[in-house]
Amino acid sequence: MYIGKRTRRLRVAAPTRVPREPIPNERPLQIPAQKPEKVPTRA
Amino acid sequence: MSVLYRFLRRSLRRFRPGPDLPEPLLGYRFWLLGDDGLLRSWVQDYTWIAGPNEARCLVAAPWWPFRAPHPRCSCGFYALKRPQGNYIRANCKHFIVPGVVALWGKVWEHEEGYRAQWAQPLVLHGDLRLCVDPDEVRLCIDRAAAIYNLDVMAVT
Repeated sequence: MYIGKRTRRLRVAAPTRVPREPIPNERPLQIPAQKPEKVPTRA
Repeated sequence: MSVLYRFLRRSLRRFRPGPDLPEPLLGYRFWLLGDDGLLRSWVQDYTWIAGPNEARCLVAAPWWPFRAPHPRCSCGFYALKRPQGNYIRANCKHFIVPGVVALWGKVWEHEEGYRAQWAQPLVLHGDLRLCVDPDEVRLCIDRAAAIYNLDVMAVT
């Protein structure tokens, strides 16, 4: 394939990944509940 | 003076803030389509893989420290800027199938096309009316579309 003479150099960004749509029956991401902070209490 | 100037220009090129183009280029090229649905280069002994393909120089030794495409070599993935010339003439004849490819990374722009570091096939299209055996070509195109996750825009 003849593409002619070289003209210039380019730096081209890579394709960005498209976020896929969520599947209806997919289980939601389980995020562990944070423990409540211990509050020092008076006896 | 010119040597110093070239050295400084090359050094400063590394510190440019971002890429010249924010999205991959689109180019036109053709592949040799096998019975197994694999896309091969019609010039070199190279079979395309699904997803991004990284170019490597087939002439230089593996230890040679440069990445394809080199300015003074002919390595890299080739694609045309416009569908013209042989791209039209090679339309689906002898299992040579035209298509669109995405190019990114280090890209050398030429007058009529590009040489790229990274390439990924996107679309296969062709005029199946020009084929000797359109059904068989169509079958191979469908196989390739399943392997490479391609869109097919074939005229039947």
